[in-house]
Amino acid sequence: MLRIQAIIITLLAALALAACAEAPTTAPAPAAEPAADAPSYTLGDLTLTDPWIRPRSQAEVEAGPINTGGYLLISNQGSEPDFLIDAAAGDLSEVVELHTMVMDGDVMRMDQIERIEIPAGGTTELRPGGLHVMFIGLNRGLEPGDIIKLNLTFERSGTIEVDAVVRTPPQN
Amino acid sequence: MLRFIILTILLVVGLSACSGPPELKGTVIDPPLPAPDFTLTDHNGQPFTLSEQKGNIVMLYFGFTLCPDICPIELANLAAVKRELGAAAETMQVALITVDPERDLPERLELYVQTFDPDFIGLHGDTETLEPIYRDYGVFVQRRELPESAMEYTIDHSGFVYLIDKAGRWRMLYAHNTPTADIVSDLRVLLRE
Repeated sequence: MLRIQAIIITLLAALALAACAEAPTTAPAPAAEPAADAPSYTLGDLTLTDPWIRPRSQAEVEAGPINTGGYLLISNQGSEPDFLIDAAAGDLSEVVELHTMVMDGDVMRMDQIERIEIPAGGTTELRPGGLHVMFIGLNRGLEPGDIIKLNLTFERSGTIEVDAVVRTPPQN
Repeated sequence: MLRFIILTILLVVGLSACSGPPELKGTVIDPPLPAPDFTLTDHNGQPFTLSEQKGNIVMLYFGFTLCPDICPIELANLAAVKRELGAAAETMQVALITVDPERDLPERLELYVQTFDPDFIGLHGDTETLEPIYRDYGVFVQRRELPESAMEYTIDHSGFVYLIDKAGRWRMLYAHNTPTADIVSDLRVLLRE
């Protein structure tokens, strides 16, 4: 096994060294650039902008447990940090969790987290490839244009219901 | 893991150490390697053998259907690439190779890839078949338990796109989320070969 690994390492090393090209200009995941008319909500010191959810078809849901992500931009005008601690969307999915995505070199690692910080005077973006609300075990399909009532709960500011629109994210 | 770190470091070194043909924007494998061959089963239950795809450019991506949102970004990018190329993309095949064979049954793979493009195919096989393929292409795949999460487990994986040219040679490598314009530009060159 060690021997095989050594061969692979050598092969890949040779490959890497032989790979001559302009370095690909890796761009960050498509940022949720909220449109000028993106819906915005105020909850205490928090402003929540452009909540949206990635679509999954009814056929996918019927083919077995399937997940999707929810995203938005949250800014905090207050002098204290606040934390997103819960998200709920009725019976949309079996479970809703808060997740983060970390790139470790070129490996992506998804992890469940307890809360998402919105720093004092700062902005936190939930976006594809980063922090997200994860709807696990969808109970029904989500088609572009659908509106989902999403309840978001913050440690300091309390709970607000927002309309999250189902849409496909922009390409980079 | 150590192997992967070394690979990553060497790739970065390799990328920064040289400048290649100006017309290609991804990482050029120079000289190209014969693409390690494999046979998997496509989502329609038909065998898919890489070496039988000569004449087509094959874009390989390793991912899984419960992948939270990295895989959808990449597959959506590849779908955008295909749309941009239009008729020229007729000799291009995008294939998702599952890194979660336990959960990615054919029907799920089919529905998943076709969310992005009706011509995309999902490939699966048993672990014994898949592991040598991961190894041959230097794909990092690691199952990680998520005891607190309803997902139960996730799969950490590397996110390159592998381009196999019309002659069956591993020709290009694209880092995760390479701009679609770069891939389109390369394919306009390579599809003409």
